[in-house]
Amino acid sequence: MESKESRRFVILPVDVTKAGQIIPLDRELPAHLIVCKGINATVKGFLNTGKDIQHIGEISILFNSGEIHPFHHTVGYSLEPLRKKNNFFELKEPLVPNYHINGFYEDAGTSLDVKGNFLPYSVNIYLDCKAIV
Amino acid sequence: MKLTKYQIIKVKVDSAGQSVKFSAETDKLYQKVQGIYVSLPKDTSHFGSSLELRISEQEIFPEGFETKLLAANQSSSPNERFAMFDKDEVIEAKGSHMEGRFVDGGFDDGSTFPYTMNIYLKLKNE
Repeated sequence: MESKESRRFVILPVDVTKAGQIIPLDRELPAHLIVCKGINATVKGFLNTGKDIQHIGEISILFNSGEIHPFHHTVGYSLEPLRKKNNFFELKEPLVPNYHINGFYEDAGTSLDVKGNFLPYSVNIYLDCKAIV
Repeated sequence: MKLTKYQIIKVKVDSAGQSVKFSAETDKLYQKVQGIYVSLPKDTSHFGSSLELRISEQEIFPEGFETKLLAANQSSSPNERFAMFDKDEVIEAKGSHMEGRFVDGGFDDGSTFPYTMNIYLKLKNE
């Protein structure tokens, strides 16, 4: 059967349970992924913060077992779940089969309710990849 | 031959947090699926809601893919609201079987149930 290239999304979930938490990321990506074309990260679900948060945490991502460091950026939270555009941060990074994706998520301690209590939350890191299928 | 069609798939959601499986067929008179847009009754209904979708057994969106990435706010023009596939990315329509699972995010914003989730497929002939 002829193989062809196809898009595959990979979701890396991150659960933050305490302020200032640093969560290491280390995962082997499926071997049929050949290129990472984009990355996006969003807070999953609703947080009762009463306001938008420009900087709820930051992500650092390395591909190919640490050989490439294409992404280090902040994550925000909005009380409005929909944006005008859902553009991914564009990348064009070839992926080496069986190598790992590494990095970390660092919480900024700003996920607070109106009384100043920390609100646990989850972040989904989306990788927009090309795969051979 | 018509060049473009918007096919609508309606999925009824009965209760908060419900997981609903659905299946449909793409219009067989059109060659490819060019884009997708997911509409829920309220913007806040997208909090935590997800859509898993396969077309012709090809994974389009994996489990847990948030619908807010497949929609846009009201300041976008209708054509800007679609998540478009790349030009070199061929997702065949031609009567393809599609199956999916929508999971309501369970966000209590006073939504009334049941509601209908609409999936809009932009189909194209070239």
